[in-house]
Formats: sequence, C-alpha cells, structure tokens
Amino acid sequence: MGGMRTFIIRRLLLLIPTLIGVSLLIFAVSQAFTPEQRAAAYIRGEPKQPDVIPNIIKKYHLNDTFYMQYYYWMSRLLQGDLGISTWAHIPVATAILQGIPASFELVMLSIPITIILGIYLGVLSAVHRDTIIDHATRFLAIIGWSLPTFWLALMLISVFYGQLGWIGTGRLSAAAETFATSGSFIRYTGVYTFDGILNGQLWITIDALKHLILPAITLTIIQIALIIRVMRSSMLEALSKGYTILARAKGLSINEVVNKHARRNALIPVVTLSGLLAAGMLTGVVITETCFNYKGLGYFAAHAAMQLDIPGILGFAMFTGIVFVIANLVVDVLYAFVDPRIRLG
Amino acid sequence: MNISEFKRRIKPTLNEIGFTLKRIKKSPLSIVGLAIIIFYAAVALLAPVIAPPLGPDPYLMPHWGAGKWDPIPKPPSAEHLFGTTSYQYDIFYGCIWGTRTAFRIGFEVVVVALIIGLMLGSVAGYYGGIIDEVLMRFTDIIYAFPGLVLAMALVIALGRGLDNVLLALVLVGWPTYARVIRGEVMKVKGEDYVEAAKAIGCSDLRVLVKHIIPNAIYPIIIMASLDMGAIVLTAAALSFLGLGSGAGYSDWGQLVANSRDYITGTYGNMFAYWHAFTIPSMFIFTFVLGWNLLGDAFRDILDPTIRRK
Amino acid sequence: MSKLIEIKDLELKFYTYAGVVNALEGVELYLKDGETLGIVGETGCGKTTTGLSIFKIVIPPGKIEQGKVLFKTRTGKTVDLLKLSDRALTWVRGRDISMVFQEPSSSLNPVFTVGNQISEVFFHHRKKEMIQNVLNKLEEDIQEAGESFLRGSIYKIEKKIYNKMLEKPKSYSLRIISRIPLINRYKGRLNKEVRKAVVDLLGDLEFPDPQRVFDMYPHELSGGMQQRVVIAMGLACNPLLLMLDEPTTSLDVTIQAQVLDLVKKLKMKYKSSVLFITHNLGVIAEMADRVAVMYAGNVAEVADVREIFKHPLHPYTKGLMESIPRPGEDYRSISGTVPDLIKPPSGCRFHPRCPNAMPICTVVDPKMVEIKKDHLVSCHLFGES
Repeated sequence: MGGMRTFIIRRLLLLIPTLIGVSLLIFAVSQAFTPEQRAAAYIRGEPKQPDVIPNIIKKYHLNDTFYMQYYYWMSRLLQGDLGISTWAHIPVATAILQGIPASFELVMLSIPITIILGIYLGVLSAVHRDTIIDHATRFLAIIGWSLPTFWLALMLISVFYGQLGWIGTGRLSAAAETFATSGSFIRYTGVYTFDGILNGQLWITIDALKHLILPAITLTIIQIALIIRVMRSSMLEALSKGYTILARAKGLSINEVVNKHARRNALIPVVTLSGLLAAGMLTGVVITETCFNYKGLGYFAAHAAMQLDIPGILGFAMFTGIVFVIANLVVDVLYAFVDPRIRLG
Repeated sequence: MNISEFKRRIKPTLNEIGFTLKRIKKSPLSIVGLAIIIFYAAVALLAPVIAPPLGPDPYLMPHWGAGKWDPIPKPPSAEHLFGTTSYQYDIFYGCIWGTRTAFRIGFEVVVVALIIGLMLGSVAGYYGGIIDEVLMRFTDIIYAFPGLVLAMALVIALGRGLDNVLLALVLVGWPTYARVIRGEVMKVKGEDYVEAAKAIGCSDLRVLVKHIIPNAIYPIIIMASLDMGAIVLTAAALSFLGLGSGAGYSDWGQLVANSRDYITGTYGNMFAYWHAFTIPSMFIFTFVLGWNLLGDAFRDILDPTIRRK
Repeated sequence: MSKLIEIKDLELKFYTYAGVVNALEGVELYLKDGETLGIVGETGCGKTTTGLSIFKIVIPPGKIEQGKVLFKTRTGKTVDLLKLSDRALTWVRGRDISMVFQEPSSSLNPVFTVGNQISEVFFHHRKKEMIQNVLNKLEEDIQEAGESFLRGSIYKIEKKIYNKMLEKPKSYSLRIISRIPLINRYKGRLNKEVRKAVVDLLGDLEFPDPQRVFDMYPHELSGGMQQRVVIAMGLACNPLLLMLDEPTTSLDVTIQAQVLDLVKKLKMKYKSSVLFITHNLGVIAEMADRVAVMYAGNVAEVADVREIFKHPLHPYTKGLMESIPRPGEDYRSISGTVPDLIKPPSGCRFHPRCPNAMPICTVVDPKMVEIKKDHLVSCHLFGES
C-alpha cells in the first residue's frame, strides 16, 4: 500500500499550487474592475458620504500594486471574507454557506439517479449494439443533452405545477416553510430532508422531497447522456477484451460475462466521470435552481449575475473552483482504489 | 509534381473520406443531424430573404411603433408569425437572424479556441519539459471551473455584449483542444518515423504539420462538432441570465431572456405565453441536436479501433 | 481408437464493413481419444477460428454458415455441438472442452484475483460436488459439537441450507437469504471448500505458494505464471478436450519450455485429449501426435507428426518444411503472400503460390483424400483428379 500513500500525498501536495492558481485566476478577473467598483464589495447599501469610497479603497489596498493587492485579498479570503454581495446585502461567504445545504440536497438526489440509470442504460446499449434499443437509448440521451436547461425546467413547471398543480416550486411548500423557519423546528444541517427526520417531523422531509423531484429529474435528463456515452463505450471495449472470450470459454452465461466481468471493468472510467458530472451539476444547478425558485447556491449565483453583483459572482466562482479541485482529487484517489492495477502498483 | 502524381498521392485520402461518407450514410441518426444542420445553414444564408432587415443593422430586431413599451408578449398573428416578446420584439425575425448568430457564435468560438489550442498544445507536447508543465497547470486551473460559472465571471468582468460573450467562451474552451492536441503530439513524438524524419533534416514545424495533424484530426472533428452545440447552449444560458448580447439583438437565448418575466404565464393559465420562450428554445434545441447527432456519429465512425469492424 | 471430435464441412464467414471474409471453408478434421492433435499454419489461416468454432464461440461479425462438430460426451453419446443452443453449451464449455488463449495477460480479468477467476469454474461446473463436500464436513462438525446446543443448531441450519442448495438451487428463499448481509455467512463454508480445491489445482500447476497466489491479481504475476493460471482454469473440471491456442508464443523461450513440459505432464495426469494450435513447427514436433496443416481457411494435410515432417505431401507443407532454417542447410521461403479472404483465389486457395499448380487447381477445390493410412491430403496431385 506504500504506492497508494505516496500517490495520495503527491496529489494532496499538487492541490496547493492548483488552488493558488485558481485564486489567482479569480483575482486576475477581479482586476478587470476599477477600484471604485471593487470597493462596492465592502459596503452595505449606498454610500452615505462622498469620502466613504476613497476610504475603503485605502483600507483594503485596492489601488496598490498587483502583488500587494493579491496578498491582502488572499489574507482576507483565508479568513473567510469574500466581501458583501450587492444583491443579497449579506456577506458573500454567508450567502454561500446558506446555499450549500440546498444545493447539496439537490445534487445528492440527482447524482445517484443519474449514475445508476445511466450505467444500466449504458450496459443495455452496449450489449444490444446497433439494434433499435441501442439507437433509441442514444437518441433519447442526446435529446436530453441538447435541451436548453431553462426550457426543460420551465416546461416541467408549467405542466406539473401550472396545469396539474401537483408540485410547487421552491424548497418547501408555504405551510412547511412557515413551520421550518419557526422556533419549533431546529435546523441541524439546513438540509430539509435530514432535518425533517432529526426533528421527528417526517412531513417536512416528504415535503422537501416532493419539491426536489422535478429539479432532480431536470438535471438527470440533461446529464444522463454523459454517463450513458462513457459507460457504453467502455462496455464495448471491455466486451472486446480477451477476458470476455475466456469467460465464455469457461462456460459462463452471457449474463454473468456481461454483468460480472465486463461491467466491473467498464465502471472504472465512470468513476472518473463522476467528477465531471459534479461539475456539470454545478453548471446545471445555476439555471435549474433559478427556474424552480430553489434557493441554493445556483440561485444565488444566477441572481448575482443578473444584477451584476461582482463580489457575489467572484465569490461563487472561487468557491466552485475549490470544490471542483477537491472533487477531482477525491475522484483520482477513488480511481486508484477501484483499479487494482493502480492500487498495487 | 504533376497532375498524375498528385492524383496518386491523394487517392488514399479520398478513399478514407469515401469510406467515412459511406458509414455516415449507414447511420440514420447522423443523416438526421446532417439534415438539420443543412436546413439551418440554408435559413441562415437566406435570412435577408426570409426576414428582410428593416434597419441599418440587420441583427437588431425590429422594435418600433406604438406598442414599443408594451411589456406583454403577443401571441402569433398574421403580422408577427411567431408572436412577440415582452416589449414587442418580433420573434420570427429574431429567430431567423438568430440562426446566423448561432452559427457565428459556434464557428468563431470553435475556430479561435482550436487555433489557440493547436498552437499551445503542439508546442507543449512537442517540447515537453517545463513548457508542458506550465501549460498543464494552466489548463488544470481553467478546468477547475465548470464552464458556465467561469464564463459568467468573465462576462461580468468584461461587460455584456456579444463580442465579450464570445471572448469568454473562447477563454473557457481552448484548454480542451490544447489537451487533445498535446496528447496526440506526445503520442506521435515517440514514433520511429518522427525520428527518421528528423534524421533526414525535416524542420520541427514540418514534422508537426505532416505527422501530427492527420492523427489528431479525428478527435478534433468530433470535439468541434459537439462543441458547436455545447457553446450555443452555454451562450443561451448566459443570455438567459442577462449576460448576453443585449435586449435588441437577434439571438435565440436573448429572445427567451426578453420574456423571462412572463414565462410562468398568467394566474390561471401557465401556457399563456408559451410561444415567447418555447419557440426560440426549440430553435436552440434542434440546432444543438443536429450538431450533437453529427458529433456522436462522428465519434462512432472515426474511432480507428472500431472503424473496420 | 475412437474419435472424440469430428469436424465435418465447417464453413464460417465474417461479415465486415470491408466485405465478407470467407474465413473457413470445408474444414474437415478429427481428433482421436487421448491424442494431441496439432494445428499448424500461418497467422490468419483460421486455426484459432476453428478451435473456437468447436464449442461454437463465434466472434462477431462472424457467422457459422454450415458444418457439424460431432463430440463424444462422457456418457458415450455423440452430439453435434453446432446444433446446441448457447445455453446448453455453457455446460460443455469449461467442463468437457476448455480453451487456453494466446495472451495470458489479456485473458485474465485485471480487477479480480486469480483465485476468484479460477473459482468461477468450480462454482459453475462442480458446485454439487463442492456442496457435497461441505455437507460431509458439516456432518463431522455436528458430531463434534455434540453437547453444545448453540453450535449444533447453527450447523444444523447450515446443513439444511446446503441441502436446499443441492435440491432446489434456484429457489426464492435461497436467493433471498444469500443477499442478507450477516445471514449469508453460510456461504463461507462453500468458499473455503472451493478455495481448497483451487489451491490444490494450483499446486498441480507447480506454483510454489498456491495460497498466496490465490489472492493475487493477474498483473502481479509473470507471463508464465499467468498462463499457468489459465491452464489451471482449463483443467479444473477434468475436461475431455483441452485446446491450447498459441499458449507459449508470447512467453520467453525458457518459460516456454517449462509450460510445454507442464502441459505434457498434465495431459497424462488428467487423461485429456489436447488440441494444440501454433505456427511454430518446432513446438508442434515436440507436442503433437498428429498434425493438421491449415492454409487460408482450408485443411491442406493431416498426418502423424513424424510422417508429416519426413514425407510431406501437400506442396504447402513441403514449402513449410523447406523453410525451417537448419544448420548447414539452405532454406527456402514460399513465394507470394497469404491471400485476401474476401476474394479468395478460385479453386485451390494455394494455387497462386504453388510450384506444382495445374490447370485444374484454378477451377476445382480439391477434396480431402486418404492417401496412406491416417495420412490425408487435399491436393489435386494426389487422389482423384
């Protein structure tokens, strides 16, 4: 296992320069704004006096050289200060922390559905290659991938909320919302599905789940094509490998050959893909949350964009970058675990 | 080199292309994709005929008359074939000229990203060492962000407008091409025939062009066709968030954004203004679908390992 | 000596995008009980395809157009394997007929341990026997437990489960309890039994530390060891026929000799017949009792190994023999190249390269004729004209 340990340590060390690079990129983007614009990040509301802004500029070193600015910006960043969002009027860091449980819930529901369904359909496609099943699956998957997220989300809302009135938008229905924000409901995690259970108020959990279904379906429909495509091609590759023929020569049934031998190998690239999927979720989540009025990270980011909230967007981008870099690391380590050739060197 | 010599040299390439076309014909999905793209190309070319421009800049949608300040989208009628958006922009006009915008967005971003990726990727792959390391770290950083998020940040920084959107998308998109080219270059770099070519004195550039390009071209074709769709979708998403080309511009995403406040319809009828966001969305959808089908078919056809089976 | 396998008139085509490849045409071959039949030929002549076709493994886009493969089963009955369904054949493959392939590193699945992969054969084909062993051991354990109530009852429950596995292996109750985490510990007994059998088998295959090897992954083993693992899988059920397709071609020469020696030893121990496919004439001379020479999808000549080296009849075989470099002697190669099987030459497929070609050779495909005892040739120079 020594090889594993050095591998992990090496990746962890590589993490630091990458994170620094990410922060540099965001910082460089922020330099596109004038010091006055950037000063807005540190005031709540409109400045009352004419010399507030010059004071801010001086205080936060917004006019210094590139390196000095980066230094001060970084030190504030490491303390968790990302400035104040001009549209939400709260610190960006707070807004992000508030948004995390919501988006987490959504992603936690969508990813397993997407992956499991995607794997099943990918295997199906590969085993029935070039038949109608294969073509139909791939066609439907491509359609899903080609749909504009906002259209699909709005369509689902129109049908299921507008016409049928089954499920509403937002994270909870009005009644549940009032209850959840009252004193009798303790928000341990901020994730309503969990909190409902922890509080013994299962109806909150169910309500939250009802509101999660449509956004999760939206995300699944759009993203499943990624999984199906990779699973299909890695299955096809596994099925053409020597061990598949040997498995048949041993007398194993086609099912066993496909499900045990081929699929286990084909899953390996899908593990890496999950990292990409996480990124895709973050992208899709911005539009989806906005359409469904689902107040998570994406919702915050979308409104920040619509109202040109510079600290908000930059803070969000920074956060996303960090998450994604860490996710990539986790995926790389997972990959090494899953493939014995890498694990045992 | 005379004519017969040239014909002889080019015959294998023509054979390959012919084989590829035959395979394309066999795949119904790719034919559908191709048909869609040809249709849109025709629409784009014939835009001035189908929807005659009424002002100095054809890309600005017609926006005049008494109704100019009426925020309620109007349904399709004789005068406005697809209806109007909020503040009375003609959807039909916007969609037709939006086709040109879509092609423009796709092509410009892909071509520029490809060129940048080609230059940086081949240099990094060929010379390796520190240049390669630096490039890899740089692409890592850009990869650290989901495309839309980074594009959002860039457009906010650069300002709105189509040109800035294109620039942002290029900056987000070039690393993929650079990585692929770099991979191909490194694969070929170690081959014997490259050594041989260098031994007889071919310059580095000649080696790169002659040997790398033919190998790298397949994955690039696949990526480019898929990117055409992805880029148009991202641009539409940016427009939807208000970071697009601006209210009057003929752009599908922009058309949807124009009516954003009315998407959920009136109190009793959610579908009251379906035309305002569904029609432009359908244009986006089918356009992207065409490129995705083609790219997917390419991926199947051009994969050298399964080509001959 | 009776015939274990008889291939009659086998025809196989590959339907590729480039055209229809006539891979095998009119292949006639038989293999006697207890002998080692060698199939020699150049790459692409159809030896591997013939081997695979024996137990009806066809790699897409191939299709068996016609033919019979008559196989004498353990009960003495003769069956045409090509007429059996794929499902029926899963009982033949790995149990009555096994195959070992060329590249051991790609034959073994990289994500499962070696022991796991060999155990598959046991679980698939020798399950009943293993369960019986478990039941016997359980009887002993129950005796031993004697007074102790808890242990005794656990063993009795396990005994019931295993009896069920023998009688109704597909019952729902079994399927359910085998999936419940703590309860399915009963499977441990069976796993242990199988592990013991596999470790014994690995010992036969001359592995120095079979227990350790069981838990290793394929990439941790050398090429020679990997190949021995695959051979172990092939011999696990005492097959009537063991097919080896170029088993040593990708191995070092020294390892090659070891593996070949091992195969000879195991053949005697397990009393199998062997089909040995290779392009290496030296190895054939070592291993085979009889030799079949294949060319471009046809069988050119079949004879005793000594006979074929001393008195080759078919011009192709003669060409092969002459092309072996021997010290002090000249050697000649056969002119021309292997034909394209999408458009094979008319008549006898060898005629474009044959020094003795006659006009009839371009028109009529020669049939296989027995010239001397057990020596068959398909050439117009011999037999009917």
